[in-house]
Amino acid sequence: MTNSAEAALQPNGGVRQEAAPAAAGSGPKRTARRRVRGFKAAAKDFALGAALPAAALIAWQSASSAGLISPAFLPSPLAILRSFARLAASEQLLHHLLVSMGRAGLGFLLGAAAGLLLGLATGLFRKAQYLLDPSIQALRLVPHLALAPLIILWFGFGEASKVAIISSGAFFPLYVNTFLGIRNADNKLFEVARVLGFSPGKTVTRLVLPAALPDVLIGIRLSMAVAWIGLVVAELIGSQSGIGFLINEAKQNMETDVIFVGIAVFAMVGKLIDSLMRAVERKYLHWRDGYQG
Amino acid sequence: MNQRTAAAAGRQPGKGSLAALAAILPVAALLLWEALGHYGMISELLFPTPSTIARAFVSLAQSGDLWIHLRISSVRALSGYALGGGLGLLLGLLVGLFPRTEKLLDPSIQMVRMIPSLAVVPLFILWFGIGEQSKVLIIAKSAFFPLYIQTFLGIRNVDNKLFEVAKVLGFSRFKQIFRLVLPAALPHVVLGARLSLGLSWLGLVVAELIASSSGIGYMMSDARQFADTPVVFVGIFLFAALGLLTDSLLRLLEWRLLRWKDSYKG
Repeated sequence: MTNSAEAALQPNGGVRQEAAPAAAGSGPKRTARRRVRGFKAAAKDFALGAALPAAALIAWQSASSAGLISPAFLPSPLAILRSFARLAASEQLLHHLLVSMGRAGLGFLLGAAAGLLLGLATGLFRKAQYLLDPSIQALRLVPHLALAPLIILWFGFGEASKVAIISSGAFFPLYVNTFLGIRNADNKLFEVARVLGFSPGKTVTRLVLPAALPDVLIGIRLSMAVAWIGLVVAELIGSQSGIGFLINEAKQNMETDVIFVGIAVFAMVGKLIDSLMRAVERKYLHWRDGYQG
Repeated sequence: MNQRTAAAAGRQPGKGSLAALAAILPVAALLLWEALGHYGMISELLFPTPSTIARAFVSLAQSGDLWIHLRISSVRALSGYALGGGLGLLLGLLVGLFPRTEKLLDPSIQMVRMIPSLAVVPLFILWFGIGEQSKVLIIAKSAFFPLYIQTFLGIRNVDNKLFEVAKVLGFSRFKQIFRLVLPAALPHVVLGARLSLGLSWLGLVVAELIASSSGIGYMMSDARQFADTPVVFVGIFLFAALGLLTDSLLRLLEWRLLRWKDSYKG
């Protein structure tokens, strides 16, 4: 799990290899020229990367305009944009989005707080680990969305069941990463702390928690992603509001363009949350002297 | 001897006491659950006792329904996994080995990755109906990305020193790929395969819960509508068991394939 998270953190770690700076005669002119060349290369990469989506969009739009694709099956990009504008103007979209974000936020807070607390407990205290960790690891094997029917039976179709579905998903990534982060703290640091005569309290706050912070932040990111996906499912299964409800209603009315709008909103908010967490990570982990890719 | 020193240091308890400590909580919870249910302190409808759940499992297994649903679900999950994972592996290899395909394909794939795979469920149902096709495709979409990303990363993280050695030894490009790049990327690829498998099961659960007329997910959602809680619990335990079983198989494979690896064993 940690591995995959690190992988996600550095999507192209060590891939790019810029031209090595020439040792001799690097006057301002040459730097400028190199910068231009670097800019050109970046533009070329961007053009190559954009070629496929752009071509697909153009083909899609022209095929739709020519009437080759039924709009009920695949509406044209322009139609999707229009219905996005319509939904945004009627403030319906904003309302559903706020409802969804409130649910995801509350579920995330509950699940992640429980995960963090239990992760700290099992990470710091060996007794707690022996007692709790095996049970939690066994529960982790249950696909959290398989619990959805049970949770709906218990809590009904109201808000409580949605929040419970989301928090049951958000719990595990943060728990696992907090536990691992504490246990992966370098033993040499503990020896130094002993030499410096740290009290146990000081060891925990000055050594263990900072050392575990990178893993905890990864856990928070993973938990947020899982919470967001759990939200989709909770709202698809049974709800009266939220983006998932918007999508599901559109499916029943065969409004394919609205489905696309909903999917796009999910993707954008998910990306936004992820970027936000990355920014937080940069702010709090700037002391870390790691490989920057 | 070793054990005694460990015990003397008061650190690691023996295997037996570890298992006993681990079992305290689940066993106590089960006993409490059974007792509370037996004396009618908790609603039988919401929390059927463990013995009721076991009976429901036995009766489902005897009637043969369980095996039909189980077979259908497994076939769906595995074919979706084979399709999505195979494509992910193939594209990951292409993108990892050739910088040109990377520049062309990787940005688009990363863009698609941002779409939560479960949000497209209604779209797939609209396009492909609620038949097998839509389910296999939903599962394939979930299984694609972990394997793609891990294969790509695994190839790109190969130590450059090894390439220098390969150059000194005069490896051909072909030999370089088969003797150096692929073995070095294997740990990541196997990890990707495991992550993909986990997501396939999750995709299956969702696909079957939302729209289906067969499979374990359908059995659970059907049972929920009739408030047949023991059957819901049976479904949850089955999913857990299936996930554990397939993950252990892949771990076995990992152990076989990566025996040569000399790393920290914990």
